[in-house]
Amino acid sequence: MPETGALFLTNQSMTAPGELLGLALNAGAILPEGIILLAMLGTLLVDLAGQKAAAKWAPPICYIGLGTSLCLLALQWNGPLEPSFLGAFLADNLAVAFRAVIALSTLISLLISWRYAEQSGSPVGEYAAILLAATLGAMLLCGSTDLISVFVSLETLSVASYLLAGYMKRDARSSEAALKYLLVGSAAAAVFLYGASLLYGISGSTNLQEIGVALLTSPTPLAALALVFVLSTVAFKIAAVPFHQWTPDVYEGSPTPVVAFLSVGSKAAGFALAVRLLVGCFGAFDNQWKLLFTVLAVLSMTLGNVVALAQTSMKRMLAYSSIGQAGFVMIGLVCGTEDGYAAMVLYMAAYLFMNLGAFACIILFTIRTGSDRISDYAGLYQKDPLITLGLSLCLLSLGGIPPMLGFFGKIYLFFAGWADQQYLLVVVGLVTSVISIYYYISVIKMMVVKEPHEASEVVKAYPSIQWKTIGMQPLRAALVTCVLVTAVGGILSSPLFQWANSAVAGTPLLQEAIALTGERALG
Amino acid sequence: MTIAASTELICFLILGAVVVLGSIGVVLLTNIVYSAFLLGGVFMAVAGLYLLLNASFVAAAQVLVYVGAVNVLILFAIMLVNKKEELKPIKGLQLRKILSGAICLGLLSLLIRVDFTTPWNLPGPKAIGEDATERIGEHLFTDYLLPFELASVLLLMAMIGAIVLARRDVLIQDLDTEKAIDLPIIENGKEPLLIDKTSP
Amino acid sequence: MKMLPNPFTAHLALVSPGIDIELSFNEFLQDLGVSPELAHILWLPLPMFLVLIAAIIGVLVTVWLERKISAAAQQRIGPEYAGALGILQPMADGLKLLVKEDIIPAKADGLLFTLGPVLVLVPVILSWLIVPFGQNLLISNVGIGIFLWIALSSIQPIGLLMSGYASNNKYSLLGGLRAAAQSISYEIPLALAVLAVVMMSNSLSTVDIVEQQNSAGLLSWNIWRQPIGFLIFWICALAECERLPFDLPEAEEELVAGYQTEYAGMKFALFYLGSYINLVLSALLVSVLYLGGWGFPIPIEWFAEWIGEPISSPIVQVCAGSIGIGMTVLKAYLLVFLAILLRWTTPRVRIDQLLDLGWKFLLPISLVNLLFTAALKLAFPIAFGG
Repeated sequence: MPETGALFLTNQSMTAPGELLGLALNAGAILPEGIILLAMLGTLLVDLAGQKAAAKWAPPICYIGLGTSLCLLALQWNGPLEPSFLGAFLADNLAVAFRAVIALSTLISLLISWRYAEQSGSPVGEYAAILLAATLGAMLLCGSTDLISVFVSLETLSVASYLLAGYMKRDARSSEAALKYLLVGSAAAAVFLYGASLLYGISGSTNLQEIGVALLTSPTPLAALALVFVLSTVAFKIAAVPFHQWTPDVYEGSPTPVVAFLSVGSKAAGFALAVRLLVGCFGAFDNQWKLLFTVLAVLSMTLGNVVALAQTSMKRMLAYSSIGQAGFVMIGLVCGTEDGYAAMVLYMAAYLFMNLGAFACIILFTIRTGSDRISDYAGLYQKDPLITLGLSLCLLSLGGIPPMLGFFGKIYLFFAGWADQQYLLVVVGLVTSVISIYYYISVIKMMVVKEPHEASEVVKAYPSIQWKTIGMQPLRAALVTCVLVTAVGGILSSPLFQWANSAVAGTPLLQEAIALTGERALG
Repeated sequence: MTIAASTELICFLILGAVVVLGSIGVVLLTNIVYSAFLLGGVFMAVAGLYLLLNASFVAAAQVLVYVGAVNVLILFAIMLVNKKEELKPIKGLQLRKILSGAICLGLLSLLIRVDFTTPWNLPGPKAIGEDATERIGEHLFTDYLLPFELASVLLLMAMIGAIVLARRDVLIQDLDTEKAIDLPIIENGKEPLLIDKTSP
Repeated sequence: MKMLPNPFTAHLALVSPGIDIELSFNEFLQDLGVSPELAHILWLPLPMFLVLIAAIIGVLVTVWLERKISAAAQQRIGPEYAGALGILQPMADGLKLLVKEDIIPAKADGLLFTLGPVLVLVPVILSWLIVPFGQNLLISNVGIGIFLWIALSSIQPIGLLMSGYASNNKYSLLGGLRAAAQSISYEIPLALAVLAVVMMSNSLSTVDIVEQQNSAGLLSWNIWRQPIGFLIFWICALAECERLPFDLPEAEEELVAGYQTEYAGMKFALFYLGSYINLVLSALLVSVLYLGGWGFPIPIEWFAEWIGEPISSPIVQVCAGSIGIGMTVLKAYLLVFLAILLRWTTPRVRIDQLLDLGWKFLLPISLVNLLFTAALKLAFPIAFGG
């Protein structure tokens, strides 16, 4: 079909010289990211003044930056939908929602990391700056609608993540984690670039929307190949089985607050990328990518939850459980209905609080005892009721026990899946949820049921609780907030539902896709 | 065929052969220094391909960035740590090599097949030659401004991170407890660390 | 298949005064009944050959100057017997190196050992492509002009590392690493200094850069607008050429002779040649970028007006062309003289001082210089090439 070739004329090379310079950039859409960039530079400057000044001033700068950024994001909600940078960025509601999730996850990760960083002897200022850079990349990734922007923001996120993973450079495991992450991540980036170059070759444009149009008019085998390449990168970023091999090692070796960020912020960015690329660009290959994602979701849920059963380290268990959780979120993406996308957004937000709450608890335990073995938690309720209560609530919520926030998120996901006749996914999800409840409960059992004389050595030697040292107050604040939201959010979840629904309703991209799926279902 | 066209074809064939054979050499040679130098050759040949496409600015940038910076850094890294080390033999290495070779060949044949079945948009957009520099600048400041600026953040952060990771460690004090910190990641770590106290 | 616009004919499109030898040559051949294509092919090797010869003669002159000036600086006489004032001495040196035994050390890596000096020399010679001696007196007026030189000069470190590694000698390896580190450190301020000039002339092409400086003779040269850029460029150029005070890679006291330690005969001569060609090239580029290139301190057009001859008349064209070549060479050799004087009067810096100077001093200064140039360009577009 030679004549179809004529369709793919490039728009970019056809603009007259100087024509682009007169157009409005509409750069206000990335103001929240700009604030974060300022906070990052501020942190770096403060760090020049020495370790003490950094420890004193870096936290407030980060809080102010992230807080302002969140406020600006709230102002962008339901804002006018004008593409920024001539189509490189779009601040639709979906982007705003995901960016808010990421900014919030960074804020909480920072709150729980000061004491940890101090105690492990790593420079605080640079740590905060790199984490903010990762946030910047992740947030821009959520709104990018251009292959080049997608790639550069993806790399910003990835490179910052490698650095963070290796931040405890004096520990060989941390360096190993960084190196593994770097090698696998670079391979994934290379595969993405290859796929992106194929897409550009087919369509003659780097704009996702234009690529989507070009693919609709001529779905060639080459485009299918590009789909596979792009999809594998997305799967790597959200750590879906079988692209998950890096996760356990990286999660185990990296500093725990970094793991908290990677498991929430980075994953949220991955899902936003998945929506942008798959829904926005590969609409012509709807059935194909949904089939592939179904396989990935089933594998992730099964393997993540089953392997988590056998773990003895708390961090490693949460790593595998996060693989399983990503599998649940994928159900919403596969559905492709209004409810499906809304459930995805909702579950991502719920996951933010419950997972970070759990991480706050295990970091607190680590700081006090220097251990993260599950068996060391035995009998903890006697010595530290706060950790016991917080961890129990968060784990129950992760397992999906009513009336926690996680329960409603999961129910909504399964409901959306069932309504869209994704029976296989829902059944697998239900079964693996039960498995996950087993290992979550066994941790709780370990903490609560043991008699005082059965308590582990670590708990018997538990230090007296005090909150005076630097960085303990923010940790407590983050812990209490996350646990409160997890516990109470379930009961008061209807505003959250509304929020998730309006996130989907305010996103033209998703509305188009939903309409398209509806038409196909009818005709 | 005019002289110019046939010269172009011959140049293309030579450059293509250099790129393909060079890349294979980079992967397969056992001496890592040779691989690195060969990589420089491959980069040069790619710059030559850009030149054939009448994109001289991109070609010069390719030489400057890839040969002048990336490849020199790779060589530096190799030469500064060029230590002979006995590596443990990996089990089933032969089988692994065969397997990965087979996968690569499969991927190659798939790509070739797809390549020939795709209706490419030929001839592509006309090269704009000497104006290219200006147009690249124009795009960098309009529709690609976001990635362009973000790249600077990426580089800044990568530089800071690299310095933090490579910086020689001094014994650090806990600001609060004033105790010297000499433990690995807090969990599981009870043994002191890599810092060699005997050396000054 | 699309036609490649040939870089050697690209500048023909420029309608500009000045003699165009290529055009005359082609017309002459076509008058003899040779086809245009064949005429073009006959023309192609000529300028390259010419420039190669020019480069080598330039080196011979520089070597002689170096010997004579160093002698004067140390109150000696210097070469005296080989030719008048010893002008044949460099020829004798070259001949000696040419016929010397070519030794490849037994444990060295023969292939890389041979390739190294070639990789050092070739980019330097290629860079002569863009040096203009007049409006049309250059091999190729490529649009990316000066950027080509920056790109090509970044290949050199690879050759240095290669010869350092292949010699299988610790001094060579250290020397090679030092040379490469020095070269890449000083390339950044160098490129930034060039960028400031490019920003003012709105073009990367060396011809445009010179033309933009020649509106009012001496007064419009870039050195007045870019004094800091000029200094940065000159310091960096010396460092790139590994001239004293920056000749650490071959610091005799510590490294024997750096990456050249194991080299002898013609391979050593290639390094030697490369270093001197690079020096002359740098001097030429300084004169192009900052000292008005082929321009006479008082514009030729004024003279032509004064004697009442139209600017396009052949006699004025020929005079202007010869004056242009003369001026370029004169300016360049003044700078070479300066470099030689510097070499014989300044002590060598230490490696840490060298890198400190590059990264902590020149780099920030050149960035500020760039920023200032941009600001001035916006504020005074007339004077700074708005």
